[in-house]
Amino acid sequence: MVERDDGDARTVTATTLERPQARALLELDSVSKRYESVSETIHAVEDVDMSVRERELVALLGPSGSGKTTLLLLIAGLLRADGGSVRFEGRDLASFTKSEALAYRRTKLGFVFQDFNLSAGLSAQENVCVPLLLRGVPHGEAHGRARASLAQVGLERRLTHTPDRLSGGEKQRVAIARALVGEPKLILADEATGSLDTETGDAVLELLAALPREHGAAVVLVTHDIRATRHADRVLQMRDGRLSELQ
Amino acid sequence: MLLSLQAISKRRDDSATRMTLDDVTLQVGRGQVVGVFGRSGSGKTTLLQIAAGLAAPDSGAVSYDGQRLDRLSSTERLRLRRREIACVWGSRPPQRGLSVLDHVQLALLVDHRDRRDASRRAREALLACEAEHCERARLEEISDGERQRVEIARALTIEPKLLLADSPASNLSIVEQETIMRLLATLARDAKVAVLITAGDAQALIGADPVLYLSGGRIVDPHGTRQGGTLHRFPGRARLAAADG
Amino acid sequence: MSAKHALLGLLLDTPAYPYQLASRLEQRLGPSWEVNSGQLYQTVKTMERDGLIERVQGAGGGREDRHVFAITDDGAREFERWFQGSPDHVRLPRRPLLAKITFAGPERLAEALAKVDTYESECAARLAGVARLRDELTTDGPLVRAQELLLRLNLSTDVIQLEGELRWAAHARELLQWLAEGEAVWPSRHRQARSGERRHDRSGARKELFGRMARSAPSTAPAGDAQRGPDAPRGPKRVPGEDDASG
Repeated sequence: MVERDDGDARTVTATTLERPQARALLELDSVSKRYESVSETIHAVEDVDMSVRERELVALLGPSGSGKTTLLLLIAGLLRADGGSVRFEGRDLASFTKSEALAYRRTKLGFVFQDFNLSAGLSAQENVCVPLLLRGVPHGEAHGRARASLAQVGLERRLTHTPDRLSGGEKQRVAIARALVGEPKLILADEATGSLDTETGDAVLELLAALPREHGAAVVLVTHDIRATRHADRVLQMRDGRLSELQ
Repeated sequence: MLLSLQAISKRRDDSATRMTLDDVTLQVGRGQVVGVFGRSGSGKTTLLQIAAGLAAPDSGAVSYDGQRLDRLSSTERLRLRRREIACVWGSRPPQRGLSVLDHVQLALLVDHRDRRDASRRAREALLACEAEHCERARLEEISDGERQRVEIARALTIEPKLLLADSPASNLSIVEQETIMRLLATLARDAKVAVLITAGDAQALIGADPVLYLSGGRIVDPHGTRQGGTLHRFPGRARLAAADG
Repeated sequence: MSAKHALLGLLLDTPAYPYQLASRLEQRLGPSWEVNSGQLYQTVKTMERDGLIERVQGAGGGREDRHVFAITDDGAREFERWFQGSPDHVRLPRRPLLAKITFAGPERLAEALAKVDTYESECAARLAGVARLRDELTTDGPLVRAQELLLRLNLSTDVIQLEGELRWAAHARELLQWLAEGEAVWPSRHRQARSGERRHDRSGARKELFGRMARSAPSTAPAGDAQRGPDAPRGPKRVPGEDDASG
């Protein structure tokens, strides 16, 4: 049973009932992914069904090596499923051309990684600008939106700092601002608190948990940190490539 | 000389007496490839950080193009790194999710270049660095040798006067080392760029001249012996009259 | 070097029987100082004749192995002369294997590769042996024994040398394989290199880009480009002591 401790008495079911208009954003239908080596075949992801609705916060738990990261790569269109389908807003990712796949990642998705994945030589503001500039947004607009996005994560005073002058928690907040700046539909966070201490990690979790409410983005939190579950609408567990829902 | 480091010293962060760099003097002129090799921890990266204006020496002078780099404001040093001093940090992990072309044009994009101009220049640099074939691949998909050539291409998009490269050819096969070093040699000769490059071993520094050995924070003087140790004279030991055992 | 000065070095510490000298030589300097007894007695005889060592104990006529030998004043002076003597120059060995590879020609590259493999295995075996000796040294306990540390230096020297040989072997193999793939031009009697299709485009791009950079190099003006902003100020504002580095 997933317990919520935010003073809100909604249950998991109630959450979905409360937003009857929320439609499935992402649907995985018996998705499989194998890696083959000379001697053996590893089923990284096996027959996974999963759906994420708009503005939903889904926590995906599981030990390392359980296939969580492979699943994220499949959702991001960075890996192609061997079987089954991954659909985003009703479209099968397998039908995307290469440039459509790129556009999908750039406009619909935001990424947050354990190691922040920031450009070392660039300031916080420039780092946040990058996805916009790559999309062709003019400089002035890109910088304005980056500033706004950094303000939303509480870093309006760190605009010109390069990553080496930011703390771990600040770096992760820059990464979240970068994930947000393109107004994505879905944010994929891979062990986002993995290199942060408990307190900083909690603050980052709070920030991620607020994204559906404040920015209308759905979030998939891949983690082995059980604390993430208290913010989640649903908790899924991955084990040996198979997915199950924790009740 | 475009870059001149004069008697640079830097203490280790955790120690009052131990030195990361100890009285290092070196110069790099346009058209020259200077190689510095040494084990990890010998101070190579710190040396390049100081040359790039990313770190300040405790003592000594850093001159770039006739001005004291160590006395410029951080904004001015940043401006130089955006326009004239390019850095390649060989061991940095790749930024995931970006295509090679995105990565290479990034420096131009954040420097307010037009997007089409940025990608044209990025493609040109990739071609010149023999990495155009991986333009559409993602950074994490390409080989180590390609990665280093991509990093050099990225550095070249700003058309720098000085290129600082931290171990770009280490851990590569000899053929890839050769490719990279030949590229840098051509770059120095034809583009009149000053190149300062480090490596874990001298083997990787094919074509660099001079090749300097950095050990314990000092450049080992090729023309003389190291100062510092005093010669211990052999103690006159008494002859023993009897055998033991 | 001959064993003479090393033997004098041993006798500086304490007089010894010749058989003790043989084993101590190896104990102090490592396995590369192994001498057979014939050589040893020959050297001892010569040294005694030259007045560098003398018999101090023992009986049994003229046989060296029955006597304890000690260093004489002349011997100590000879040791000192040697120690202070000519500088210790680096000497690079001539390598028969390398000469074979050099003259193998394209037809015998496979054989050359096989020789490298054999040499590599032998180095690996020798390295394992020396490393074992080094690791058997006990340097535990409260006392750091100078002689043990110095023996370790001797053994490490062999280890480092053998590591270098292994590195060389890997290096030679890479190069030979590359040659075997036909990537280089041999003299006319041999095969020609494959021509790279892309070579032309690449050198064209290089010429264009590097030429442009060279033209902008002598002056301090930026490369001619209307999109570029004004050049960085040449006259630096001086802000002594400022530093933006923190890592």
